[in-house]
Amino acid sequence: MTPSYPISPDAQPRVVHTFDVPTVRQSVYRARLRYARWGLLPVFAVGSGLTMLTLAIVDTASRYGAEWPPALFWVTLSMFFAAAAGRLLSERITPAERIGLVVLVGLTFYAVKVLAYPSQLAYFDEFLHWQTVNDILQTKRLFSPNTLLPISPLYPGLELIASAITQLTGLNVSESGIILIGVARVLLMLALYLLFKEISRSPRIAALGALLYTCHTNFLFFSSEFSYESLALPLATFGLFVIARRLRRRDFDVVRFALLILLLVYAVAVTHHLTGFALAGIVILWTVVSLFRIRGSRAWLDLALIGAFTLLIIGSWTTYVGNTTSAYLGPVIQTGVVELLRRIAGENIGRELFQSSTGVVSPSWERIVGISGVAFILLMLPVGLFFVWRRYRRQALALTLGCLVLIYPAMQAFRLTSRGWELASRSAAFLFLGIAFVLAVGFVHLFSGRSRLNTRLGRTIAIGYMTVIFVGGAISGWPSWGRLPGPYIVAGDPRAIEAQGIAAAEWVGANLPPKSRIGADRINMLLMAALGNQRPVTHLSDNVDIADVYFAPELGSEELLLLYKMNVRLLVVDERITTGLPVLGAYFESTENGGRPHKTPPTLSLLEKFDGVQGIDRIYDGGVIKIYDVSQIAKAP
Amino acid sequence: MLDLLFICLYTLAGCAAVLTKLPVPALRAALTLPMVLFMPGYALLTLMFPRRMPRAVERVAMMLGLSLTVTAISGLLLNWTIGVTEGAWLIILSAIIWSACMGAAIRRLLANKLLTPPRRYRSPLSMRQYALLGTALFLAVGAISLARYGEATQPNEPFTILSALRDEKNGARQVRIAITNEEAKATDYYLEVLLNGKAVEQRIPVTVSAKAIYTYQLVVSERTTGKVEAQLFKSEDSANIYRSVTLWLP
Repeated sequence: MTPSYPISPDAQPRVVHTFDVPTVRQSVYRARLRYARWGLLPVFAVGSGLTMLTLAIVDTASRYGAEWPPALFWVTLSMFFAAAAGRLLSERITPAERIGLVVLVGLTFYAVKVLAYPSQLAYFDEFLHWQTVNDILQTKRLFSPNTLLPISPLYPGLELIASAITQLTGLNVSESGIILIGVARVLLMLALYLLFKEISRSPRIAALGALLYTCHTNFLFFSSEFSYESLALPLATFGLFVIARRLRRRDFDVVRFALLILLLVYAVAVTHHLTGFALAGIVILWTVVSLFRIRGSRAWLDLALIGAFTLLIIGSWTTYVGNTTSAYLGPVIQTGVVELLRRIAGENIGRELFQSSTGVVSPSWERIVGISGVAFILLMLPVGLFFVWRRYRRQALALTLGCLVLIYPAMQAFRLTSRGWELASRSAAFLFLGIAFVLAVGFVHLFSGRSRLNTRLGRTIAIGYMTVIFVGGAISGWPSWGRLPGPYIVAGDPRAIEAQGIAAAEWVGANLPPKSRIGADRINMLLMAALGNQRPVTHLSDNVDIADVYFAPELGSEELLLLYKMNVRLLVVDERITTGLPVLGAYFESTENGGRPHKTPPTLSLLEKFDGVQGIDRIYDGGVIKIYDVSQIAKAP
Repeated sequence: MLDLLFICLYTLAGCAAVLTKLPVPALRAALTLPMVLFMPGYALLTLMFPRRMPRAVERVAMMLGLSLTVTAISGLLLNWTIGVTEGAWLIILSAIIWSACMGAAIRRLLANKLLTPPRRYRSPLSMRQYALLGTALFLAVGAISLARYGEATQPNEPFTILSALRDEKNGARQVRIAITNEEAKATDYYLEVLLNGKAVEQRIPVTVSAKAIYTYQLVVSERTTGKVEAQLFKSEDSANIYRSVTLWLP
């Protein structure tokens, strides 16, 4: 074929280098480029390993009663956070390194909880869900009643996956739970990065936002527990990312998108009530913002459809299956609001910050950093909101997250109430989706390019600022006695779970009929349910206070009637409750003693009243723990 | 294609591990854990995106998110049908993985992507980076081991359990009294058993090794009523009752 353009007969054929067989130099150069993608991530991985090792040393020393571990605990976590913040604030690192670092930070902070109790679930809420898993494993069906947390079997997403892992792998429930929440943590960090990246289109903002999300009050402990929110939140965040991705890029076809979002919303709906409501709420708010803010776009219509669909699924599940949700959540919200209003009116009620029920006050540095953390967030939010408005005001989701932030100051007021503080604490995980994004936008724009603040000193101050927010959040979220393992504390959840209680529960599990109705204090109730396979009598489920039987001066007709009505077979007496006030305010349940705080511990004579009563068998004596069989006297009033 | 084949074979190995009750717990866990946490998501992802998969980070997130989601929803289906049993999980998860893989293979074939040669593997990390990651892994394993050691050796007050249970068999009543030694060393005790205040057994010397259980059985006639008491004394303090249990025979 004759070429249509003139070619000089002298012309040399042009050599095109296709690099099919690269030279050594080219190979080395390409390899270096490839390896450079991960930057300092391997070094940070070693840093993470050292952090974990130090935490293990801290935990072990704390178990032996040493006093220095809390200081080293905070120094270790602060250093790791500050190093990660410094690296992620930097402008010159690759997205791959940022993503790796975000996941590494999430896992390292998950290790804080795992290393404290590495072989068994130990926190209060973990036992509640452990019980539901046990019921699934035993009955092979869902929705068996769980008297510790009646709502838990109605949202069985977490427990279903845990039971699948337990049954297929042969691991025990604790191991399955630890692995499952670890995987959920990875998903959460990736979902946060992807969501923020989708909104901002900046890997720097995305990674810094994901890092700042770890500053919320519950990230280190509560959100690491084997609990339904720890799974539902990553799924919901991922769901938000999928919606944002579809709306922006439209490279998913409708079928794929609908399938993905259906699965995700349904999984959230069957896993956790609050997260379901939060997801529906955010999507609806997003729709409204989109309708009023983004003119000429039809995105609001898509969002309205998704919102309606989300609301339908979550509402249906709540109405037809989780029908006790309003009874469970309603009183907490109602009491919290009433208490707050009474406090505003000047009544001396509510809760003192940084003070436990036993009157122990946190160290002054913790109070200062805790309050500074909140103040630093409140100071930085207007800056972040300004930059969000300036750069992302045509992004409906960015504005939605900005709106979410406005709830944060109001929720802080609930921290001053005794029931409502839980609202403030639990809402942090959702509100920080907005706070983390807004703060990240603020920090990145203040410390970018030619900004006057973008100096070494400025960045150092910013890193310190973020570290105070992180440490302040962790301090506010969890009491000092619960952060590290150690010697026994009365009613101190993980600190009260030890060998004698476990031995008693295992003995009951091995020797007594399953699901016998049992009365026990807060800690033994958990152990008897999860390890002893018994059915505790609780106020939440039975609307009676079994504590009345224990605190009565003698076993009179009222107490016998209560035992009869509740068909109680066993009573567990833990004499250690006489050694101090309960650190969380209650020996049994928060309704005991008429809801009033205890001023002195019960006397031993109150607990010894079961001895010698005809018809009450003392079937177990383990020293501090005694178990009584009251089935003979509970048969007739 | 190799990825789909690998997943199908891995799932088969997982099924075999469960069905044969593989006696090596770590290997069984390694073979079956991905069947719950990774593979359903990956298989569905390949089915949904036969031509071009999403970027790596999205792929990983989707794999995890879809796996968790699909497992939870499968559990609901099992509850409404055959029950949430080990076999049922095996059937439903394998069915999801295999059918998604088959669907993905067909879609890839239609998209002419099935026989695309896999890209040559290039290590994403240098030797030094691998060494650093290895060090990190070593430190993490060390941390977990140390934490577990600390948990196992935490100072706890040693204790002994004395328990008593009633048993009725063949017209005779039995009272089973057990001493469980959690004192972390072999311990000498005396056991005394009383029926309505009268000694049935007077101070039987008993030595129980650490973590061991000593059992004593008292057989009484069906018509015997009253109080059975068991009192345990430690040999070094034989004057004071160390543990005691009581049963009322109606």
